[in-house]
Amino acid sequence: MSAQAQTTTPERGLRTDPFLLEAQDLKVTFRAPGGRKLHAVDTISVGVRPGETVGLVGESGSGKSTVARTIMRAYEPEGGHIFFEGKDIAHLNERHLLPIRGKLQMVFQDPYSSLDPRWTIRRVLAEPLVAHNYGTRQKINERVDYLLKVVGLPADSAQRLPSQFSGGQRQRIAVARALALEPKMIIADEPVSSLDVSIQAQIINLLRDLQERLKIGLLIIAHDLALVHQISDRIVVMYLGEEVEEGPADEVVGRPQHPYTVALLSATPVPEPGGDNKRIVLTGDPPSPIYRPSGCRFHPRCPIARDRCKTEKPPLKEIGQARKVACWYAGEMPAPRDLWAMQGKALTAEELAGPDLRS
Amino acid sequence: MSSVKESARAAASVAGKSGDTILSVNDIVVEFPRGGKSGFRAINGVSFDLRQGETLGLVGESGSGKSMTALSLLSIVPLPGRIIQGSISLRGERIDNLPVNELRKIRGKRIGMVFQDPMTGLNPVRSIGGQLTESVLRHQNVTKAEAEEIAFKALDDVGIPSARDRLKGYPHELSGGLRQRVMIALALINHPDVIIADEATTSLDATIQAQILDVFRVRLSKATLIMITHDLGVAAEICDRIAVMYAGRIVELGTISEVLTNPKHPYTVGLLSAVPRFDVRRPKLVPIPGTPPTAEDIVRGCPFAPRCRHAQSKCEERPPLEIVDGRQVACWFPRGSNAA
Repeated sequence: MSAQAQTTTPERGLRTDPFLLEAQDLKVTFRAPGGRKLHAVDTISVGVRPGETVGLVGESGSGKSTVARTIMRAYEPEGGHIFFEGKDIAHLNERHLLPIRGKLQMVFQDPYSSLDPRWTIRRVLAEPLVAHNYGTRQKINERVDYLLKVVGLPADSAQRLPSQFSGGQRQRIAVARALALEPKMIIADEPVSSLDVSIQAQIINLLRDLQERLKIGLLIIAHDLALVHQISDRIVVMYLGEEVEEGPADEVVGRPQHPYTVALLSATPVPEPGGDNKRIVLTGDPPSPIYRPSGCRFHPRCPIARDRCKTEKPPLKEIGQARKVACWYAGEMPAPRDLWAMQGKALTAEELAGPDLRS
Repeated sequence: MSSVKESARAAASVAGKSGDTILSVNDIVVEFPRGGKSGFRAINGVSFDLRQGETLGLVGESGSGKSMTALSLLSIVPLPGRIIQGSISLRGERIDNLPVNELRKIRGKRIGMVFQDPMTGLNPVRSIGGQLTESVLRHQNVTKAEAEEIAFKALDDVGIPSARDRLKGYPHELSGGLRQRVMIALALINHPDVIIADEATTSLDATIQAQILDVFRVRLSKATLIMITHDLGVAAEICDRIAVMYAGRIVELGTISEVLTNPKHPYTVGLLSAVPRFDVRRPKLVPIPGTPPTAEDIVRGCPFAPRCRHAQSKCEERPPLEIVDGRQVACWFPRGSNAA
């Protein structure tokens, strides 16, 4: 029951201790054809505390993966800071980054392209250890065996090749690799979206277990709001490279303030008959990050947009503890589902354990 | 359930007395040879009926055989696989043993198909209008000008803005959502008896998926549709009945509310509890332990037994698909049964 107490305490998502990782006003642009600029990420700030899970949600093109990759320093930020354990790593050179890379690891979406098909699993897992002078060959081998055990793979996996594993098992290998150097922070970019639901839950639970045990900070990037809500302490919602809403997971899902968050919630199909009652269908497609709309970026698709939204860009305003929203008419659109009523309710034993298969 | 759908079904049942069933799939087996061993059965004895005006969901995880079922309906099972058993009938006529020239009259005419990835389903170097009119001219006895008018109407019907101009355009000029609408228009254009949509919304973002689901729900409300999806939420939104597939078999088949609110097969129960939901937040997600059988595995008895916490020695025998509480279930010990 302690697990339940933990996830339902009011403090969930309301911690105020210093961040382990903090991206501050991060700005990333790419060059587009014709000398134009593609604004992939425009002044995003997101922080993760030790042992905390933060979910970054948005649709394709919203810039969420760019945030992850920029934090990993795969892209050069045009502006802003990336603080890791208090130190700005936004412009560190590769030599100074090396010790940090061990503590800041990443799990990618596609376990098929993120593992070299010709490398044995032992070599995959040993590579980071060798690169960081972990120790003798024997010490490295012991660590590899330990990692396999931690992620729940059989000991003889080490000799095998990635092609001999299923998608879920490969993602376990990717998690093991991320854990190799005892990181303090893991960024997972759509870690389960290529997996089947029954396997998805296995990997998410594995990540959560390890995170709780090792007090790792976890930034999860995903498009599935229901999944992110299940596992995150806080949620940051992005649209067209900008942050539109942020808050504790239950708050964002139960009392969404930005019309885009509301639309996203209402667009998520739920496996219930007749779950489409209050569906809000947004018209049109997300605009191009090269030719962004004036004013509020969301106004061309927003059901409640007014004249002001076309010309004036709403600032990201604090509207409560750990709660932010960028909308002139925040809170005007009602939540699509009556979720808030659920939050105070204690889960029954059956709900906690999951349904019995035959009762 | 939408009232449009209800009334469509009511109308259908009045109109066609015995012709209620449009498509009938009877115990089909699709086998792929594997060196030495017995063949791998990608589909292993699948049967279902599709009624006029209904939407049937084929739901399952990768490798469950849901897409293969769709391919076998059109006789396009990839080689070296082939249908080695069973029959498929469209309005009472066998369509599983037809010669290629006869099949061409069915594909795109009597059965329309919407694929997952519109970029591969559409020809990138032909105009959208060209692709639509080609299909019309092949299957309908009309002039080119008439075909163009039909093409325009088809695009307009699926909610493509300024459809007239789009006819001259090419697939790459369209967003993912619009391309998928073109695919749907192409599937609909010859008024097929059955439309098969294979993961038609999977590659789309949530808000765009909602738009396409709306196209299915509102504009295709009278169509007879097979919706293949891995997403129970998507199935819940537009299907009347669903068939849950596992390892090439249907394990549970019933109306959407029967199956989703009171699942009987342990796999359906497991699948439903593994889906993250907004309303119940558990400290942990509830996965199904283990992995589904792969093409390498030889399955005896119930394919779900190795992952099922209620498996018993009886499960070494294959459970038949039998009626339990008004829906069909392939389990010796369905949930709620007294047998322990």
